[in-house]
Amino acid sequence: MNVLAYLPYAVSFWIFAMGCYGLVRCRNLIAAVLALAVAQSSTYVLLLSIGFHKQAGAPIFSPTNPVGSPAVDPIVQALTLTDIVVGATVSALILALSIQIHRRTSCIDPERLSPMSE
Amino acid sequence: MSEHTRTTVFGASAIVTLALMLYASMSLPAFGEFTGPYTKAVLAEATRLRHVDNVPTAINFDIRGFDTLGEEFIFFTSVAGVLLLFSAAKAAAPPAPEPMEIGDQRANTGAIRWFFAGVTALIAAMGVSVAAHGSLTPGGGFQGGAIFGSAIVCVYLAMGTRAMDVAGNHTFFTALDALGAFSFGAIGVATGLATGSFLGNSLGLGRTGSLVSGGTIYVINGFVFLEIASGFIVLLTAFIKQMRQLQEEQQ
Repeated sequence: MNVLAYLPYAVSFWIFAMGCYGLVRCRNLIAAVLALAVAQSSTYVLLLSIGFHKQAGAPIFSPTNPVGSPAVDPIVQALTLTDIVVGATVSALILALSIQIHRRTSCIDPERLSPMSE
Repeated sequence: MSEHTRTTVFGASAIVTLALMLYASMSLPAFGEFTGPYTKAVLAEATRLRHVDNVPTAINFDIRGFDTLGEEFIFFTSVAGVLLLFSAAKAAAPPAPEPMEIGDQRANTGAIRWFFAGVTALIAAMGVSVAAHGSLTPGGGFQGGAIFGSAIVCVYLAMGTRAMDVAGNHTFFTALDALGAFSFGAIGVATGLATGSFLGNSLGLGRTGSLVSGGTIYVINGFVFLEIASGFIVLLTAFIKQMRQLQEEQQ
């Protein structure tokens, strides 16, 4: 079995694990948001590596790259594209929550925040 | 749970999960060899049926348009959530004294001001261009909107916070944001009534390869650009204003 044929998938799992590790170990909510973004970005690597075709161009046609010439999977590209923009906004929402938490408790260390505390 | 225990528990479960994921990935097609039937069909037919060279754009705004509508609403809800959280903070905070000009000390020199004014114009033009060529070249409303919206940071660097109160007028840009989200849904309903299928492409498709092509794809592309660009402007100004407010509170 060709190990290299599965390496891109392993890379995306590794990125996901590193993001989760960051979430587990972080002592700062801002760092938690970044770790979450890292974990999320693993899905981009996975999607795009599934859609990759050998010896294929971009799924964007032009006179020099006419319809019918080999192209990588456009569906996963479309998924990734919307995911990036939406992911950025959701990060903004969590950052806003972190600011509110800091304002209320003067603390952004998830270790020292107890659930449901005022 | 102590940090050490938590790390140990995480390490153990991560090894198991990673092993399972690797095992599962063996059932995926080898890298570079996936050929889904849907992919083949889309690649063969999207340009012929929709007159759009950029197949991901055709997928986002037409073939898979309903999903994109959902993503648009996630975007819209997140922007609304950020504004809601920050406005709650504003109500709770004591009335602020005269606003302080944080950015201005740095931005005071004419050179910096003019430099960032130029950069703003360049980035904004780039954003419009990327979005406008959504049917033809890599790009579209999402990418162009994100680029255009980010130009507001350069406005801040050029003018400081006081000018941003004018440039980042919340009411105006939140209205644009809502208009973008609403129009996407409204186009879906209108085309649904006209063609019998939600987001059915019923406008003239135009000539493949021309700037305006793809029928509703091009229109939706424009509204998505509007929503993403104004959403980014609203978000970034909200954060910069929040930064100013936090510094006031700390004094």
